[in-house]
Amino acid sequence: MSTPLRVLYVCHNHPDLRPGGTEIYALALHHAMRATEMCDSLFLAQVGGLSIDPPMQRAGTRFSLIRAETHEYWFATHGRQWLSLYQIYRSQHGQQPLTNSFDEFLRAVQPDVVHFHHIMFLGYDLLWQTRMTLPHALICMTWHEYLAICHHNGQMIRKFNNALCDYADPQRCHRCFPEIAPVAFFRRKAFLQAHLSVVDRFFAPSRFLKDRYVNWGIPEQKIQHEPNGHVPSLPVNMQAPPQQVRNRFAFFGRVCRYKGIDVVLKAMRILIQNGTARKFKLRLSIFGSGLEMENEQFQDRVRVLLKQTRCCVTLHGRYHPDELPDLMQSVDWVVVPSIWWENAPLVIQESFMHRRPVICSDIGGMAEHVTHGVNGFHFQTGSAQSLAQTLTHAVSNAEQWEQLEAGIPAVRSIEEAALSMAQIYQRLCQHKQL
Amino acid sequence: MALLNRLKRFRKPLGIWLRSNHPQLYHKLIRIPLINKLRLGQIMRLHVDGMFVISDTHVLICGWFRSPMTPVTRIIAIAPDGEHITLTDHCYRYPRTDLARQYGPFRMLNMQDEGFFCLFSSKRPQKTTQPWVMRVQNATLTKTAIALPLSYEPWKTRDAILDALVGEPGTFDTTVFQHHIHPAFEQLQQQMHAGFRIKRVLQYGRPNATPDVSLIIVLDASVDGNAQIDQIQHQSVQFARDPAIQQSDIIYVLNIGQHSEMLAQYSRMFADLYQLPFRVVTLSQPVETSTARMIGIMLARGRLLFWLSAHMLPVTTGWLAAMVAFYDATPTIGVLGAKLLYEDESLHHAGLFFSPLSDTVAIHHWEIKTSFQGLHRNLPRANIARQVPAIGTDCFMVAQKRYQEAGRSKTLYCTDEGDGIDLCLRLQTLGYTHWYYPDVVLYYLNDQIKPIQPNHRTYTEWLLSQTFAHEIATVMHNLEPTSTT
Repeated sequence: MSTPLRVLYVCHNHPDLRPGGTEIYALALHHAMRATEMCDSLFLAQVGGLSIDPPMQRAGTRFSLIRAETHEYWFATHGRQWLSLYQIYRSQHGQQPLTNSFDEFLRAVQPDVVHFHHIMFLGYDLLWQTRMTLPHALICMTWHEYLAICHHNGQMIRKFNNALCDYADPQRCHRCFPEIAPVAFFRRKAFLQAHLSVVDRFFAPSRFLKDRYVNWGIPEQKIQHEPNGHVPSLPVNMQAPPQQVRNRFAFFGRVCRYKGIDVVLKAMRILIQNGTARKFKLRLSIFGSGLEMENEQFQDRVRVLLKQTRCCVTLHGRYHPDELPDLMQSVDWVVVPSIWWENAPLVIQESFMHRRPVICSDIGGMAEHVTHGVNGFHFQTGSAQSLAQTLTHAVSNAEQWEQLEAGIPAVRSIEEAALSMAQIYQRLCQHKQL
Repeated sequence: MALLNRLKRFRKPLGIWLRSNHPQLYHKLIRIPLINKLRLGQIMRLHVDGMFVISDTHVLICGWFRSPMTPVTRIIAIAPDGEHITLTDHCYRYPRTDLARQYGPFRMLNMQDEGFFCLFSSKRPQKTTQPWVMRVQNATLTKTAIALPLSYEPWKTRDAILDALVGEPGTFDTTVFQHHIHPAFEQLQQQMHAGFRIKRVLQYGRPNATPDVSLIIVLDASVDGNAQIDQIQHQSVQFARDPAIQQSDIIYVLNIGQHSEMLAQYSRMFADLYQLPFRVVTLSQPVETSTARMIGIMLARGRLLFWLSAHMLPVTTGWLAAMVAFYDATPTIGVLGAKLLYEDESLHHAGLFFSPLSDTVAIHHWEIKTSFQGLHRNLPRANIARQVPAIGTDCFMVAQKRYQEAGRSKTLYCTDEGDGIDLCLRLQTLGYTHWYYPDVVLYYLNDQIKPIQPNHRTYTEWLLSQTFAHEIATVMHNLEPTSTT
């Protein structure tokens, strides 16, 4: 057996600190990769980018261990000025640049592959530093959103009216951010693309996201569609109880504007007003939190909607991932009404894992992962009327639920994803050596 | 007296009646006494906009006066040591129409506000910190004002003088340039060239011992320190991708002192990160861009000099090698310029040319124009390599040998492009031609666009027209009409 490849995963956060989708997935991939024995991987998580982050920096080093047995490290970035437009840090006078610290780390651990899962709070210049330090290493990067393309939190939604945005352009971005000159957006793109030029292979969990990055300027031959694997938290109970009417809907995730919480509530209000809710005894369960992070106007709007729909809508609040199988067991359909493009939403994977058909917006990563009429339904993005019609259609025919459930594809496991990724690393490393 | 008091009661109704029925009588009986009552001495104004110290004996003073009823006949400057200097005949006077709106109730007095500009000298050196007295007189009245001499760095004095020339082009003629401003600037130029020194030159990275090209980049003093850091980093990452640039001699000239330590720290970091050798030159005091560039040229080691603005950004590789190849393949070439685009892909530069200005300002005054500016990058006529009268200084390649052959400019321009055009025209007299090369594209990304002040541009154009009247006429005569607009 050949020597295992040494892989370094670099991520903007660790799930111990904030359990976001990207960091959960990146860490799971690291664990699964170690289990393959094809790769000997390390996990490096940034800390200090947010003021709420705990102090993790020791005198003399930015690196400390998170868990020795699983080879996980903190990379402390405290006290730097983060330039969100250019996605880099500016060190203050007298501070050692992060790139120097990263250079020292790379020289010490000598990875064959450096795989970035996010660049936020790390900086694009770390990519360049990697290439300078390890000229022959394979540099990979997985895109999890559109942050390189869009300065508006990578969501590709117009800032002033929440309309979907198809492409970035200096003048167009300037209209979303009037305080930033168009030339700065041009410079941003040139700067990011110059640093990205050192990456050997990009991975896109959805074809939609891949296309967006190709349109933005990433060479098509450098980016490949590589679906995420699913991280099971507990043994999954896939069986759905037999029912006459499939009338239990659920919303999982952050209760926020971009996830379309107001759209689904408005749809329920329509169904209450036209008597459908009463006729079919509809129930909508909302599992998630985050409303308090939204602006007050939106919070008020959602609270009013919750009040108006309280006869058939229940806000359950935050849940632990271990509870998910039980929660899924209690519903028939999962609604994903996001008004932004999404990439490869975890909730769709989870729904499919638990054999629940999905009703989702007809755009981006959602439309790509759910096939209309095969394993779920699409509705017009942002339209409560369209969603109300779709929910009515879903609930009015009991047999179609079984048909849709039968159409749900097998979900790729994290072990399969890790194996596939390890093979890709090996192939690309061999190709680089040639 | 008693009669006057009696008249007072009837003055208002009498005035209304007289104004409509006997205007002449109204003027004599009502208006003039009213004016007298308002005390003409108070209406008379003298305002000194600026008094600029050119040397210890030369001063340039400018401002305006308002003289009711009769024109100003005498203008005197009184030096701190008591010397009286009569400026009446020498002073340049021009209408200040911009002040007319301030007449208010005195519009009826037919006053005209006049601006004045005067370069003059005293017999003895004057202390530059002590005030002068300005005095203007008309037939009956005298007005005085205190003038505090202003002493700046020479280039700031130059800009302040041009800014003080108030009014739309056309309200003043170019004799003010000829007799006052230009002689003052000639003195300032000597001080500028004598005043600066190089504070330090830091080399980052390992330089190529025999570079072919020297890239000279002046960091703009009007851009703040953080933006300058951005400019260096953004250019560095693009340069680092291009082997030809990595082999060249890159010189950044910091045209400002206060951020030099911070810039030095980041320069070191960028040189390490991008493995790009470059030098950073820090000056003892801020100087104008052309002087800073001249310092860069003095230190240059390359066979070819490439002036690049800090606002310029290449986004592809191979452009420098392509320009060198074109330069070397064109036997009589003097200066070579590239296609420069704005961020919206429209043309910023495709060569410069001259256009005769309408005769409102002066005869033989050539205006500087940019070919196809603002039009699409794919415009067919902008995509043909061609000879042009001049090249803009944002991206400007010239052989060191030819630069030396042309000699140093003896003229002080107040816009950066003036120096570039001056060099182009001097090289033209030596038989060289200048080329626009559209195969090389760079982006001009200036988000702090300060439009060139009209007076600065007008002065530059006037100076070029004066200095190179024959050369400009010749080059424009030989130019294909379709190659400009």
